[in-house]
Amino acid sequence: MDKKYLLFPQKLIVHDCEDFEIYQEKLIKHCYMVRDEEPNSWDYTMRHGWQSSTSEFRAPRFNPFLEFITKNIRQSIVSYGIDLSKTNFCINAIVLNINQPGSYQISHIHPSAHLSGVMWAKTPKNCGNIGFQNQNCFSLSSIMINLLPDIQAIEKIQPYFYVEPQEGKMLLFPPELRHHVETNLSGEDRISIGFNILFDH
Amino acid sequence: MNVERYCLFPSIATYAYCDNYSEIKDDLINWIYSYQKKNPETENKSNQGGWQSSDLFYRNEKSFSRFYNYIESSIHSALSHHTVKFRMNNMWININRKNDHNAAHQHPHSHVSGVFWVKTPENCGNIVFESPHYFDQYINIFTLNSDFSNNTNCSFNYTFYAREGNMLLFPSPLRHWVQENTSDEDRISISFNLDNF
Repeated sequence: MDKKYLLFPQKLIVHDCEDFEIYQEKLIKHCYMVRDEEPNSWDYTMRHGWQSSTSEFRAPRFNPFLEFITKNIRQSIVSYGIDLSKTNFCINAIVLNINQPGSYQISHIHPSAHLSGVMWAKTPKNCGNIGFQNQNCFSLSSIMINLLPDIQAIEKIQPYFYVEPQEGKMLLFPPELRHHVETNLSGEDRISIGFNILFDH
Repeated sequence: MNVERYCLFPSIATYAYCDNYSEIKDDLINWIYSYQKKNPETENKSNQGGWQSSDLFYRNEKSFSRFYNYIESSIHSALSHHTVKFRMNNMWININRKNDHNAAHQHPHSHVSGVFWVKTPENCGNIVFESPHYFDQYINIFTLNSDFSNNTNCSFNYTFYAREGNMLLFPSPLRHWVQENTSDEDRISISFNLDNF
């Protein structure tokens, strides 16, 4: 019997946010309030939607949300398998995203972070999945297009992997993993909070 | 103290100004619209909206040979710094209408890729390349002063203006995208991949 090894995988964690129901409405209101105050989108990756500055989270008014988000990031980092008794983490950027109908986020990575993530606050149906691109999509292209579909699906040796956003969930992913957000085809806004994390070494 | 700085392992992009394009421009545009009318189905690859032809369309279209020869001969002149003659692997037509764009992508199964711009109204969207060092050397690049960055092309992105009658050739693994067409007219280009088999 042949043996198969799947080497050097990339890990994604989907975490159920604790106390989300307490914060959801307030967090959504906060995003709209910041947008009303600063309507010009930073457009780091956003097209036709709105994105806050990465330092908005440092304002004192964000503190209650920061506490809630930090608690859930801590839990997802533990799920990721990181030993927090040996290292500590800090959040070095948070971006509030309002993807209006018709908006999307272009393909990007998160340099100068050790882990990245997103928490979904409002996700109507068809508001746009997050699509991760295989890092080996160039070098393995010939192999990927010729793999049997069931092997592709089981072994995840495929060009893209899509995750459907769900309200109250947090997704943690390696920052070098290229991703984009599909066009929001719902009739409502899609609201999410993206973040970057750094660890002490 | 003497200091020498070296930009190691660059990616080579070739921007070519093709000869006598005005002599074929109108015929080529008419040919493309006529072909699109007969083949309205679009391929869905990097194009977000817009229309993309099959990537082997030119093999069965004898009336395209005049244009094919023009493009192929321009490619060979532009690639004179290589010691081998690259062979056309595939070629396709792109029509980006208002608000269409091409998402970030690479061109696997190829060594050199390129684009020939057929029709480029003002603000139709330029082509932007991303540094292969974007992640690994983020801080090194981010902290460069603008003079050094501009003089050495050590930056996160590099934009080439899309100008009709010109051609750009680049290494196929180099990730790139086409900005949104914010003009009211179509942007037309012909893309291709070259190999040396």
